[in-house]
Order: sequence, then C-alpha cells, then structure tokens
Amino acid sequence: MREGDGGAAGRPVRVVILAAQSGPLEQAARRVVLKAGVELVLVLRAGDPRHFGERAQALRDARPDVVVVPLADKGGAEELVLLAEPLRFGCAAQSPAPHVLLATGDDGAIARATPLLAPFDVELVPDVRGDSGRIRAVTRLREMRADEGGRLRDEVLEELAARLAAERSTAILLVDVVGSSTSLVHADPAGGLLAAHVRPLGTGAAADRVVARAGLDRVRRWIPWAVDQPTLLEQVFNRARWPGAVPTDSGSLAVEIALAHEAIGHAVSDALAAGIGPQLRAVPLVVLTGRLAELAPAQASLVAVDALELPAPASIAREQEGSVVPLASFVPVAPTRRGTVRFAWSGAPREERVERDALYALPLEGDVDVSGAGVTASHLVAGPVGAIVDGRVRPLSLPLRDAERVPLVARWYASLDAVPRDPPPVAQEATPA
Amino acid sequence: MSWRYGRWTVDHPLPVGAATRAAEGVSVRAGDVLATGSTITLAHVADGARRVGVAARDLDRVLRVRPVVEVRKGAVLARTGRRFARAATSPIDGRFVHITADGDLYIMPIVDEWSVRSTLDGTVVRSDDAVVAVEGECWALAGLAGYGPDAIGEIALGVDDPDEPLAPPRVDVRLRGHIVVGGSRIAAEAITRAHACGVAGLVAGAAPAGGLRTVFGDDIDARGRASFDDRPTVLCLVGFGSGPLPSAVWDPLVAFAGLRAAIHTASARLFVLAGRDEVEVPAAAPLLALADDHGSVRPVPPDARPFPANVLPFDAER
Repeated sequence: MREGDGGAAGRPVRVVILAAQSGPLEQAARRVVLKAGVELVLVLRAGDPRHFGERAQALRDARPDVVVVPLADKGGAEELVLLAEPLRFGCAAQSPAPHVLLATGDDGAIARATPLLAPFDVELVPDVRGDSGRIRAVTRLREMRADEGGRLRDEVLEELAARLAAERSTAILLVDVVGSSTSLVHADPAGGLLAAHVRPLGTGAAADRVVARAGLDRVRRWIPWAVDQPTLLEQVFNRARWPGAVPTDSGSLAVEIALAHEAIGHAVSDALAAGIGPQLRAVPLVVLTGRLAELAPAQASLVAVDALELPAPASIAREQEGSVVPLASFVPVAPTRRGTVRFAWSGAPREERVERDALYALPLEGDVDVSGAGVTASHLVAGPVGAIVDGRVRPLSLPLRDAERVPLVARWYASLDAVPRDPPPVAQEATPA
Repeated sequence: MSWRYGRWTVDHPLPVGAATRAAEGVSVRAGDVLATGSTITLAHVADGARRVGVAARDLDRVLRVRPVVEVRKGAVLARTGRRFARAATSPIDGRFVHITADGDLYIMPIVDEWSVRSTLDGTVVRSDDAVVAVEGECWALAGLAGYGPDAIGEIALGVDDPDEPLAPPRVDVRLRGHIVVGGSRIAAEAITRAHACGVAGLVAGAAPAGGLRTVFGDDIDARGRASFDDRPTVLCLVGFGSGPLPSAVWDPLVAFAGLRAAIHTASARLFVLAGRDEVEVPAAAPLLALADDHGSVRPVPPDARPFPANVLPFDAER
C-alpha cells in the first residue's frame, strides 16, 4: 500500500498529556495517543522541574488541540493543580481553545478536576486503563483527525493487519513507513490488535523530525559510506520541505533507508514507553508497507531486521495490492557461542555453523523449517533475499568513528546485496502542479 | 506566482505574561510596539479567596486590582470587611498576573521585558493574551522557513547576482538596521557577522542547515523557528544548502532595494511596504528543482523539457 493509497493521513491533531499521576496511567494515555495516530507534542508531569512560567510557555508553544488528563483518583486531581494552572495561564486565550479529555472513572477526581479545567471545553471519558475508556478516547481523537467521509490510513492498516492475521492464522506485525508517519500494527488471529501510529515521524515531510528525535549521528550511522554531517542535514531538511520527493541517486536513497531505520526504531521506543513494545516484536511474520515496500527486497529486509531487532525467527514480506509477497526469512542466532542452524526446505537440507557477528543470506526460497542450538525452531517463508542468518550481538552497537563503523555497515549491506545504487532516471514532461 | 500584492493579516504570537497590548482598531506602522511584557519566572502565591473569606468564584467581586498589573510589596490585591478588614496583599514588588481556580493570586518578579513589534503597516484586528493580529496591504513573498525574531528595516542588496552567496566581508556596520538580501546562500559566518553589525535580518535562497543549527540551536527543524530573544533573523526562500534565486524573485528584490520591509518568521514571509505599482511581477510562478542528492535547490528554466524529477513551482504548498 503506497502513500496516499487506501486512506488519508487526516488532519494533524496536537495532543498534550497532563500526567498528574505517572506510571501505568501515563502509559495507558500514551497507548491511546499512539493508537489514535495523533501528534504527542508534550507530556507534562506533576514533578516537572520547570517553574510555573516555563510550564505555561511550554504549553503555549505546544499549541495543543486536545489535552488528555488521565486521573485515577482524587489524589491525582489534587496534583493536577500544578499542571492545570499553567494550562489556564498559557492556553486560555488560544483560538480555538484546546479541548480537554478528562479520563477518569472516579467521582472525587471529576468533582475536583472539573473546576480546575473550567475555561476549557471538558469531555469526560472512562479511565483509559480499561478497554472502554481506551476505545472511547481513541475513537474521539480519530474523529477529530478524520476528514469528512474519508478513511484514515491508520484504520486501513489495522484492517489489513487483522485480515492477514486471520487468513494466515498467525500473529503478524505490519510495519508502515511513509513521508510523515510510521506505524507498527500487531494483529493476532484471535482478533487482538495493538497499534502505534507515530507522527510526525517518517522519511519524507517528517524526515527532519526523525533527525530532531534521533540525532544526526544516529541517522548517519546507517549510511554505508562516509557522509559529513552538514551535507546530510541539508539533504534531510530539503527532503522534509519537498512534498513527494523521490530518491534520484544512491545518496538520497541511502538517506531514505537510514531515515527508515531510525523512524522504525523510534516508533518501537514509543511503543515501549506505552508498555506495548515486547508484544509487538514477538511475531512469526513481519509485513512491510508504504515506502519500505517500495525499496529493493534486500534493502527493505535489512531495514526491518536492524530496526525492529526481532528476538526470534520470522518471515519478512511486503504487502502488494492486499496480498503478502515473501521477501526473506530471518534467523537470529544467539551469539554467545558458535551456533548451528539446520534448514529443511524443498531443496537439500543445510546445516550452517554461524560465527559470532556473522550476517549473510542463504539462497533458499519458499517454505523453510529452521532449528538448531540457540535458535527457536520455526516454520518460515523465504523470498528472493533468501534466509538471512544473523549472529550479531543485540542490541546492535555501532562504533562512533567513521573509520570503524563505515566498513562494518558497508559489510552488512554488501552481505545481503543491499548497497544503494542509483535508481533509474525519472523525468516528467508535464508542468508540475 | 512568487510576489503577490494584497491585503494580509499577520498574527504576532505573544509569549506568556503580556502586560500591555495594542487595542483592536488601532492603526500601526511596521516596527511599532504591539505588546510588552516580562518573562514569567517563579510565581509567588498569595492566598486570595481563603484569605479574604470568600468562595473562589466570588473573588472577582472583592479584587482591588486585576491581572495584569504592576504591584508593590504589601499592596492590597483583594479585601473584604470594613471595620475588621481581611485583605490579600502582594508578597513582593512585581506583576500580578494570574488568579487560580482555587482563588489564589500569582505575583511574579519583573526580571526582563520583552516587546513584540508589528511587521505590517495596518490596523490591529485581534488583540488578546495569545496573539495580536495586524491587517494591512503590501507586497509579500512567501519563503520556506524563517528563524529568529521578526525583523523590520530597509532592503539592501548584499550581492550583485542571484547565484552569488553572501560573503561575510560584504556585511558591515553600514548595513545596521537593514534587511540584507543574500543570493544563493548565507553561511553561518555571514549570519553571525550580520548580527554583530546590527543587521535587522537576512534573506536568501538558502542557508546551510548545519550553520542554522550552529546559530539557532540543535533542536531546530526545517519548518523554521520564530523566537523573541536577541538572535539573528534569517529567511530561507527556496531551500537549504544552496538555492540560487529565480529571476522572477530576484528582479523585484532589486527593484525594492531601499524600501521598508519586514520579515515575519512565524509565517516565513517577507513583506515589502511599497505601493502596488512599484514593480511588475510575472504571473506564472518560477519552477524549482531539488538536486539529485537533495542537498540543494536550483531554478529550472521554464522551457526545460523534460523536467528532471522533483520539480515544483515556487508557490507550491510545502
């Protein structure tokens, strides 16, 4: 599913969480924000070290459309005083004024919090730690995003993930990276769905936000040759302000791949902060869509393998017109000792002794059963990339110095034949609109 | 179309703590102060409703002063009773800025003052604690990203050619208070030198993103960053890195040299306060192309066929 196919990005909705009570309540609020696909611009906690004026200025600068206030009890509402007053001072004059979602089932909390949030339009939803509260809050936020009559891309992705999981009777992780958003959708055959739609975070219009979040060096480290920081920054900034920009040489393609790495990595981090990270990654099938699905199979597979850091063997595929096209099977091998992996497939069985830090692809295609020491026995499906055997230490640790890092990363790209090359020239006859 | 003459409404966002504001309907000129205030720091809280013995919702009835106002230490903020009076007083010399939902009163020390100036000749059409908006007629050029505070000054050309980068030696104190037009690029050295020389603002096709980070901080992005502090003002018109200006953009800039102008960084626009007949501009917007490595932007001749990939008109929604 390409960007723009099947669903709209929707209106941007900026959300602030006033986390008077952190811990599970804040995690639950973050899960709502991730599932709803809105932009989380600020999380303000009661213990925030900034003083009143700085909090108020931060809230004014955030220009929230919605303020989510999760509360467990009246004690939390008392703490809310420290956050509600800066909100009143900073945003009371904002036009349009922010809409407040007060998420609590406690009558005492409601009675105390309502006057504190008085100047704003306050809507009550149940506690977001429960399913009813979460669903209600997500629905409300998505209503604010939706254009009239249009379906959101996030909803289309969730439907696709649920359908694929039901058809294949297996849990799947759908990974979607487009210009301004990155989505991770986990679906299981029983109908369970976990989703993290992170925006703005992507390889196009939100490319600069990836750099702002990750740092330039973390993006640069995925490029298999030396690139100086100023050059990379200019490429990223121009890409962010050029709608629909397509890579036209190996350099711009490498930047796109590097951005995709970090965008997925940060979407996973956000999911972890919301308490849903481990479940997301424990899947036998990863399906790639959006810009990832348009990359060469080896490049897409390498991005998925490195950015997701899958803990167990998995099949990697891409979505094409609603169906799943296998790309590779991925076999991580515990790097503590020399592992032996056995592959049973339609061809002759193979046994591989995997060295620590090894990364290579075996030319296998179709159904593959893997087993062996340090490997979870699994049934996988390989595609044109083959079976990727990975004995690298996780989490991946890349040297800081170019002289050490670039040869290492270049070797990984080369071992899967994923080195970015100049794409075919693109030209247009029509006057651009 | 690149340059447009029309009636524009410009929002001037205010920091928190505005003490004075221009009233709606007032006529202003570019550079006039629209609002002033002080930086809000640590709040001193004075018991209000509890102190004077009224409910928080009734406090307004017994207030002697209302936010935002300067007060002296001991000044009565609210009072009830006659013979046995109960009063809430200010604990410090400062500014009474806020009343809480519980009826407490926030007083801040005045540490430094800020002011926001108009970027248009026109009329104030909205004035509240968040924004002062001014409406007026002038020429406008929509750029890509603005950084720093708004700037007002006369336009001066810092280069002779739209393909030429602004060389730091071309910037000196004679350009104090001017908006200097660079050509294809303004390096960080030119930006900091211009600021040191008192140049009001810089406009060019592009600026190096790394240089902008050096001057404005590592957390800036490609969408610009409006601020109120003492920093340079930079407006990038077409991109980052290098961006020679198309003649449809450059030629009017040359014609506008010496006229009053303003950079509004929040909307990344250059306003030139000149009459409609000052210049003639082509109706069609010039075309721009992103370089293959995405590291720069260049103008595309209108008769170029086929177009390279990644071509957009100057006025495309970006």
